[in-house]
Amino acid sequence: MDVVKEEQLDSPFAGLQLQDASNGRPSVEDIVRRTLVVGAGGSGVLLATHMEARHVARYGKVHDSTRFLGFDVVDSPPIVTLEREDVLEVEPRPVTVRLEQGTEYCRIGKDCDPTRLSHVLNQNPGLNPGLRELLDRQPGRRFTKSLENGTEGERLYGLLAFFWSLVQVRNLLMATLKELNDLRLPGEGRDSAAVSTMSILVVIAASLAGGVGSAISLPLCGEVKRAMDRLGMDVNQSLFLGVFFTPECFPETTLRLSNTCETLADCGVAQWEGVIP
Amino acid sequence: MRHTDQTFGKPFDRLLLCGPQTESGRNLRDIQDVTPVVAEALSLLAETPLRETSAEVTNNITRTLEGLTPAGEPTIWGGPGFVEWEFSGRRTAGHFAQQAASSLLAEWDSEPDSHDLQHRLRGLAHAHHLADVNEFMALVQHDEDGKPRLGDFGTDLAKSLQGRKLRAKNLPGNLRRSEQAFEEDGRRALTEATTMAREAASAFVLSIDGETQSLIDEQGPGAGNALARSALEHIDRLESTLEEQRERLHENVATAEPGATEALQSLEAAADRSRTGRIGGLRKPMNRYVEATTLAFRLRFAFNLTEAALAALAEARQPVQALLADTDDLRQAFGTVRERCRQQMTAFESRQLTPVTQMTSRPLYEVDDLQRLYTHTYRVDWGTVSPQTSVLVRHSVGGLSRWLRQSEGVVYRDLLAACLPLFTTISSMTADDFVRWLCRDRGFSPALLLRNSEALAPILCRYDRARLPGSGDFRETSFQIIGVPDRESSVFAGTPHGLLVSTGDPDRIIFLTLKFGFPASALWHYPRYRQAYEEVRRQGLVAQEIYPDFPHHLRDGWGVDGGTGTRRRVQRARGRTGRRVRRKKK
Repeated sequence: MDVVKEEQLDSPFAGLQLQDASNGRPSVEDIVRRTLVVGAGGSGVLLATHMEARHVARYGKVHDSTRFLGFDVVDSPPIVTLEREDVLEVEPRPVTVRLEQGTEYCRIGKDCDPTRLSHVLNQNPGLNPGLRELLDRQPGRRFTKSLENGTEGERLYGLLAFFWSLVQVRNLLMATLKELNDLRLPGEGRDSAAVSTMSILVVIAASLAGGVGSAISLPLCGEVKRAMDRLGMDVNQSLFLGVFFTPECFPETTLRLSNTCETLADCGVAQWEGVIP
Repeated sequence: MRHTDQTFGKPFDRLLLCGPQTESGRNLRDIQDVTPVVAEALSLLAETPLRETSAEVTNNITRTLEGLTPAGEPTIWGGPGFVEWEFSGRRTAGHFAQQAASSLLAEWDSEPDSHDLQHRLRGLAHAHHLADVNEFMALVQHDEDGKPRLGDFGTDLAKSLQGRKLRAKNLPGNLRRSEQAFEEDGRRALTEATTMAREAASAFVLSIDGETQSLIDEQGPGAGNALARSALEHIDRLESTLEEQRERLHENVATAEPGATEALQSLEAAADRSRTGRIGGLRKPMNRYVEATTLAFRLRFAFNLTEAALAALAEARQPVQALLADTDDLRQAFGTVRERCRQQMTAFESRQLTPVTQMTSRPLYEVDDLQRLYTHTYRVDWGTVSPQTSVLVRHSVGGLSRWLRQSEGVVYRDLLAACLPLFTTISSMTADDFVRWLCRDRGFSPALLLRNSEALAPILCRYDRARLPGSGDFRETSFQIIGVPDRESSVFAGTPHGLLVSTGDPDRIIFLTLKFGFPASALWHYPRYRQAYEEVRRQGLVAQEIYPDFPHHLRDGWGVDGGTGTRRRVQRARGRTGRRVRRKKK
């Protein structure tokens, strides 16, 4: 978590030892469960940031068992400011949160120039084979746009950025899930078998309409499951929750509506056929 | 080549759609409004005991609901809706404490009884011989035994000359020696008188300081301020009278001293002229000399004493002025703190609900509910405090005078800290307790709140009932979870409106709705999505079906207009309803 700025207001209760200040309110330790919130694309990252900000606002900190990740093609993730609900909220204090670069946020598609992809793949045959597949499916086997202005709503470019940065995505997921897996919560024994069966809630959030989240949420879900599997975590005991924003959240364009139709269908196929792209 | 992954079965266990248009037709603006609402709902599902409960329930529901529509489309989608009723006992106690603090500050800063004040001041001034100038001067002019500090020059002179066989020619020298000796005694007396004057003034100031603090403790800074102001005015009056007296003495000294000199010169001249050389013949000029010189000495001494008294009062003025400034500051701090309390109360009472917060959190109360709660609990009207409360807080603070020379922040913090413990009954109230009280007070049933909650928690997704599978009766596919602080003791225990879950959060009652089992084509705007998809496909400018090796073709059979050739897939799929693909553990 990157706490950008916290306004220090003079709280009338600062430093006071009030009787039963918690007043029976659950502390973060009481409510912790292993949770991974993954935001895909602008809306997904915004939601993950909001959830983290809410967590901090309500409990004062983010517990190690709750992790927030974001993946998008923009350099800087959004900032969210909420009012802190402190011990006595007579004067609520603002809390400002942004996903931290590197440990919470991965900028996908960085340094990727789709128009030169063919050349780059020839120079670096070890790159993700998915890139070659995407390239081969293009008319004339070449992409015509760059990622300078993001994906401009084209899902294909979102997927391209994802494949381009797949190593970084996997590393970040692996590191985060490993930390969650290694974590011992109160009441848990040290028996590794017992730990491995414990559930984790994975929330993957994206918009249906955009070019990034709608394209990468399904493959990202697959990556999370594969990473968990590699770490020996029980995927079937975990709960995967997909959260998708409808296109009415954004100014309407034909492409957004079309993307929505396609993403709804892709999710339908994936869910029904039991396949992850 | 990259292939699709069937290792883990379906990617998601639940799929939720969230948009700005709710089931009930209410609209949020855009993603900025929708995101915090969804974040709240998801956090509830992720953090609290709602997580386990919702997981258990939705497991069963989704297995039976995730079937296919007659057109072969999966009914995999769901939507969340929730409303959070909020009553924070601690916040409310804080609000009550602000109200009590504001009332107490007003009470403590009220104008004092001026008669009592003047009586106190007179008593103090009298105790230190400063009631008036005469009393003060009488104090400094006399020693502890009540004798005048300055003797009588004539008597001293007579004593010094007694028994001596003085010749006229020796008289002037003897007179000068006597004058010098008397002057020396006068200086000593003046030093003692000055010390006495300073001590008296200083003691008066100390008494004023102590009495001011006592008054602040007993009545408040208004009374202390008035006493300090009166003391300063009293010093002003004394100074003014003494200055007039000094002026008069100055004039008298200016007249008397030349008279004494002249009398001495006359005596000396008479002594020179004396033929016998005996002083017996000098009786008349001698008497004039003694009379004039005594007067001059007395006037000079009185003048010097007046100056000393003025200097002592000037010294006393400074701490009294500082005390007055301190009490002024304290009164100002009281005013500022009172204003701050009022602002806090107004902010609490007029907490504006934005469209977003309306979707997430609603207070369980109206402002007058809280005022009735205050009156009901503490047996006094809103905006007032009982005399016992005033005494308790004053005692808890440890005397209001301790705030002299303290910042308003310290006053605010200490006062609130003293007031808060008075409202422990309120601060320990849970949202459930408040609902119980509210129902009793207003005479309604808790079920009414739940019925309202149902209407206020529409799912964040709008669908067309006509396009729902089956009869269109969507009711069976939804369920409600009611999160309460403690379900065993909850006022909602036994409700048929939803599943009661203990969250342990004393400040909130959560009403969470989850609906599952609708197809994408039931979405209100789905036909437009489909139309746009076809349009983009016709234009051919943007790539579709982006995933390699993914069975995109299934889409063709789904949609509002149904499709052909799907029967086999539908039958195949229906046969798999409820089946979860699980990978065996190694």
